[in-house]
Amino acid sequence: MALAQRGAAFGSSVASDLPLPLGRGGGKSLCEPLWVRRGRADGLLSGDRRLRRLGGPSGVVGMVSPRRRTVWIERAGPHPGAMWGAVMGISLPHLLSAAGSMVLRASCAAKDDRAVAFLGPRRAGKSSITAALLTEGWRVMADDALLVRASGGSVHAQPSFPAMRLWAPLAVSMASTLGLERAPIHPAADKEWVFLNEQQWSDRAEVQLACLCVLDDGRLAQLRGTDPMRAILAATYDPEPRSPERRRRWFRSASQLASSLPVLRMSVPADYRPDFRFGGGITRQLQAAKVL
Amino acid sequence: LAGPCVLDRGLAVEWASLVPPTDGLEIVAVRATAAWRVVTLAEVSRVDDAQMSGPLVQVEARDELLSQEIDGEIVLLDLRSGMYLGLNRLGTFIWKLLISNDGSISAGTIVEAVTGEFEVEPATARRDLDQLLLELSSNRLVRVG
Repeated sequence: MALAQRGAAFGSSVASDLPLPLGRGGGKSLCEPLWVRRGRADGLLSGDRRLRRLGGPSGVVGMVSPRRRTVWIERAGPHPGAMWGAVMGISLPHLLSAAGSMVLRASCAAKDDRAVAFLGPRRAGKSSITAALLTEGWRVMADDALLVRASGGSVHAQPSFPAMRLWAPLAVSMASTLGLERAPIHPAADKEWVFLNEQQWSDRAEVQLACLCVLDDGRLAQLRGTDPMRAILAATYDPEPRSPERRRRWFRSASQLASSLPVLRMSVPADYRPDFRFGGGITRQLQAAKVL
Repeated sequence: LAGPCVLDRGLAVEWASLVPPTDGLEIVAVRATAAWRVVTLAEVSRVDDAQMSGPLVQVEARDELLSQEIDGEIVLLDLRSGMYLGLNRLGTFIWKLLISNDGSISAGTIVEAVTGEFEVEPATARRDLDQLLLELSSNRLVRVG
């Protein structure tokens, strides 16, 4: 079967039987390519996991095989947006995490040679804040799942894929102003996909992270003691199954990150509006913290 | 981020208050992946005047624990459950005391060491130790008795 698409996601080249929001750069690959196949896996290998077990939406049936670096989609369901979420938001992050990469539940934006990642629980504002930075000259690197690589005392973020899941009014505002395409995730979802183009998307192979920002209600502060590491652990994509060896690696990676870059607590500005053009308050906080 | 919240897959997560503890001992479970049996305070450790040495405190499954010290505070990871705990400076002092004594020490000795190291009344040290042991034992990190 001819492949529907070749592109890039999570710092890797991706070949897919299904249409996905992939970046350009399919010809360059930092590591082995990733595969998204339509159909069923031919037998099971250790580490293979049902998509449903990983938290995938009920309408999408599939399997993730880290050893084969492949995601199989057996049934995509009636809503393409749900399938994109299952592949880009769950399957590929799991595949990379299980293969030893560190994936954070974070959104990330980059400007010049520096990137900033935003952590926090669901609905903390990670995606909204990242989108808001577009008007300040930033580009998006990741929405909700961020691949990071630590080496030599510094941490680099790698671009995930050029699309964001945004609260519907924000998605409408951003798409209409910037002339971007959007697509529903699911009739019941209050978020929509917005596809980014080269003006909003950073397709650089990797950008050094200046800091991690935990979105919280408290005042701006650099976290000390065990707080940075606990914040990173809380944001680390959970590998399944939770083998002691993976937990050991997960803990060491968090430790390495916590000792390599500042972790800030940052509040969503009080006058924040669901308008993607709101970005000034964020950059002012980053400048006040002297991370830019 | 203080207070419990629910993340993807219904995992109950206690987001720690990121404000440093102001007094006494504060230990916060950031991620609870299993509902361990909750041990009441009375079951765990009551170091009173009639029991100066107090019960013996022993570290459980030491080989299954990872620890990382940052800025004088320790993060513990239980490899069995995936649960991790952050200890403040007092908790870190007590944990190191436990480990340096081959994972076994009397509660009374801990109180004595704490009052010698920190400017704290014995009664306060006992209460803090009770709370720490309650947290650690209910998460199966130490055994008391």
